[in-house]
Amino acid sequence: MDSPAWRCPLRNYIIQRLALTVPTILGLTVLVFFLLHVVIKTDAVDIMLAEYGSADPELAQQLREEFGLGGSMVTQYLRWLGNILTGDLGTSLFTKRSVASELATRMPTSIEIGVGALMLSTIIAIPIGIISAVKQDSLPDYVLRGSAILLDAIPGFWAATLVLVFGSVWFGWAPPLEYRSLWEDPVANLKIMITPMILLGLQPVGRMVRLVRTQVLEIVRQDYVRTATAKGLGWRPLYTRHVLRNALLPVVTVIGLQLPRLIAGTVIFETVFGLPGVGRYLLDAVGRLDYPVILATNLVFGLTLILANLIVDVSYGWIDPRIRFS
Amino acid sequence: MAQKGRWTATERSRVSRRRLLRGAIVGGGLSALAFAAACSGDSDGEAGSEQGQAGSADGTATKTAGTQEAKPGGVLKTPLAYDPETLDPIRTKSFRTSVVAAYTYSRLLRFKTGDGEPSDGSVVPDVAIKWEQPDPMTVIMEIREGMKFDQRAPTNGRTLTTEDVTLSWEKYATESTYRSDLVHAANPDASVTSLRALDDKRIEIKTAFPDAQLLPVLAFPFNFWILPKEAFAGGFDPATTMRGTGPWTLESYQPSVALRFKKNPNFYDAPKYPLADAIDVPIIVDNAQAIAQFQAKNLYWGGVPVIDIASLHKDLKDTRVDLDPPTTSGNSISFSWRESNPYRDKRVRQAISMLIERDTFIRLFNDVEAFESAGVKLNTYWNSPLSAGFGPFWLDPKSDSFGESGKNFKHNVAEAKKLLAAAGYPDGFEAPFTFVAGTTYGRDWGQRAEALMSMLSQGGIRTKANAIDYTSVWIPQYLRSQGDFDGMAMYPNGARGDPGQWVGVFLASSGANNQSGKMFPELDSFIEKQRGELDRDRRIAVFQDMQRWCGENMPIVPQAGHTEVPGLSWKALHGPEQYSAWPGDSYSSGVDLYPYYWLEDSLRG
Repeated sequence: MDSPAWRCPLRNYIIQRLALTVPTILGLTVLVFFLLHVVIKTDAVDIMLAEYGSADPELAQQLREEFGLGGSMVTQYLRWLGNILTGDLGTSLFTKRSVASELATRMPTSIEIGVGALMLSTIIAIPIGIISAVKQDSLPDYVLRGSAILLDAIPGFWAATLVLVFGSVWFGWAPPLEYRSLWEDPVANLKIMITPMILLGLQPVGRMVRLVRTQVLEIVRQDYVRTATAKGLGWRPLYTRHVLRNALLPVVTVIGLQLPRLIAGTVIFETVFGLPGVGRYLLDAVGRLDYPVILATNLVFGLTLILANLIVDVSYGWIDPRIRFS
Repeated sequence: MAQKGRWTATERSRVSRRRLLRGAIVGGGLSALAFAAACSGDSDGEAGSEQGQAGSADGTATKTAGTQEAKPGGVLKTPLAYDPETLDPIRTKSFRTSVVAAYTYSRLLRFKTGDGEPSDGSVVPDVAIKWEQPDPMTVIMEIREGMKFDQRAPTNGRTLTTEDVTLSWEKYATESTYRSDLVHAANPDASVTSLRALDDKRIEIKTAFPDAQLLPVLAFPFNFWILPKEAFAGGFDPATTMRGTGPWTLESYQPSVALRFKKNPNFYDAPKYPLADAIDVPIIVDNAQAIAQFQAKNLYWGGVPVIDIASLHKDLKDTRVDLDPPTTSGNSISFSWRESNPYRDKRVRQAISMLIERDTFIRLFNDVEAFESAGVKLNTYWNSPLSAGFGPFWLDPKSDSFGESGKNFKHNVAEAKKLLAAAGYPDGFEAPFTFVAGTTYGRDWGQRAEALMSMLSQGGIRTKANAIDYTSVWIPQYLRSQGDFDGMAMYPNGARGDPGQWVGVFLASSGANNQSGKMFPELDSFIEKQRGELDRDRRIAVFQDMQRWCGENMPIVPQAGHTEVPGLSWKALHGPEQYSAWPGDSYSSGVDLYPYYWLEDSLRG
């Protein structure tokens, strides 16, 4: 795997995948842009004026010009795309703040919750899945699987509400109201983030437990595992060297694809816990058709998803040395 | 405490509805018209006389008695249920910024704060200390002397001048989405043609016609805020920070997280007010979070949803329920004016009104029984379509003075069926019933629709629910359609500071969100007449005639009405039990109420 012969195809593979990113992202932006402008028969200016109930055609026209909503949709899209290519993500129509700087401020919060949640879910799910497989069809297996399915079935917003309500009623607890970033004050940050991380992290646990269990059960039935067992290989080396390494390949795929999903899915927890993340930013923007924010945030989410896919694919080669890129 | 309890729940049962509205009725007409007396403000701050209140140099003069035991200091904590998109109150597109602006910025005028009884809705000085009306279309205002901006750069504590006022006006008149309330060039129904400085102390406002609504609309917090000239010359970015003359200065702002304000030592009422040293305003969108923070005493008032107040009050013995007068909003059932629809016949509209069980509806959606079980009495007030929040302008449909058309508000299925039969619908009819899905207009909007549809079915009106999306359907197809849709639709007609402002938007044929279409020239006549009527009593009389006419003709069917507005606070916080905002102006509590709030030691941590 460390040989130059391996590295070269990998580099080519990465370049190829990155090249494919361009049409994928273009397709995504075209889709989002035209959905926003074609399917929804109103625009941001209508929403601005509707909220209060003011009829002011002159101002509406003035605002449309200011926001670049004049001209055909193709012209508007190309204008937006041109700005993106120069690194300008635009300015929010409502806040007048730079979208790039808002994303730069908010993205770390969402990534922190997403990554933290993913780590937690992985740490919880993999051992439980293995235990469940090893103790197949026993009481621990039933209990662990039942719990996993239960976690899968609990909606995040409901769990968050329960934690808040019962936390305050029983323990007089409420999450901190003052947000501190990880770099500013790690301890204060952890106090704020740990609850949403746990709640978000519990959501994929059910799916991951079942996947790990299934994969482990499939691998332990393979001939080479049986052979290793027959040769007297101990439980620990058998599982660490042979079973887990092979069983975790699809699990890694799922974990990798969970990350962008978790980052994008932080919106509920950002809203409930008052965190300045990207999910909430996007949600607010969608409600008022703040085009630059919606488009830029979708672009960032799209890129995150593609990057996560790429990392997962590349990691295959590390997990399973038999895999070669060409 | 020695203060006179206002709407404290435990005392509420001793307070009659008559008393609730009396305060507003006594002086509330002033809200509409300081012009009534063509009054110039009396700068001696003497409370009691109408002129004294309307033009007092110190609109807060009566606070002294109410806060005799008040202890200065401490940090107030109250949530904001939304994130202001921007901090710039002139270029904002949303009321959310106006709420925040009230902490730090000033207007020419503001509404009087209710002290021990509801606000009478009169306008009191803010930047303008005096005003006079040399002719019906001119107002001259004198600005308050020595009013200082924020001590920090770039304003550096400099004195507010007429230049700040005129530059703010220029920006407002060209860029504010609210300018159609005041700027004649943007809206022929708005009156102001110019605002200019006469000298360094006085400004002159010229109007296109005599305008009874001018002063209250100037006081309405969505409209004209005065920013320092540095905001327009690149000295600071008003979208991200604030440099005002109000009671508080912005110390920090984390979007989506919190705002923190400190007492402004340069405020014109300082050092006496604000009483607290600072006020923390976390942005809490989620109800469960708000309740948890309140229980943990991280919030002292606000944020707890009405539906949870009664039960929480029962559980938390150190809390108090404060009751404010009803809001001035007035939701409606509005009609299609297409010829193919049956609603052009007023008997059909009257029948629909008679099918609504108003008290049941109001009690159901205001959780009245839960409050009663917690010992809090809430009264029901029917919209006429004006809300009872408009005080003296409101005519109670239950009262004898409403006259013959009051019967159309009373639940009467048999009479409704007779009217439908007389109109040619003996078996009723089928109709789409449109409402916005989701929580845009409140989390119970869909349930309200279901209740109304159920009530209409008693008369044989078979409605078909049409739940639509706000952004993609409601705005382009309904909001400004003026009745160009099929069936009936539920409209949310938001609060305004002046009843003329409210009818101008929702009922006048030229109104932005008009639901009466072009069907009722008589209604337009009423609206025009009240606007030009500078005498307070005569203006009220016009409004009362208009409401009787609406009762008879039902251009919209008022969606029931309101109760008082309950709020939950910790007993160790003082202020909410005594002070209240004019119902049409609950947006500027930052200046109207919070400077007078104070804390007992138990909440000072």
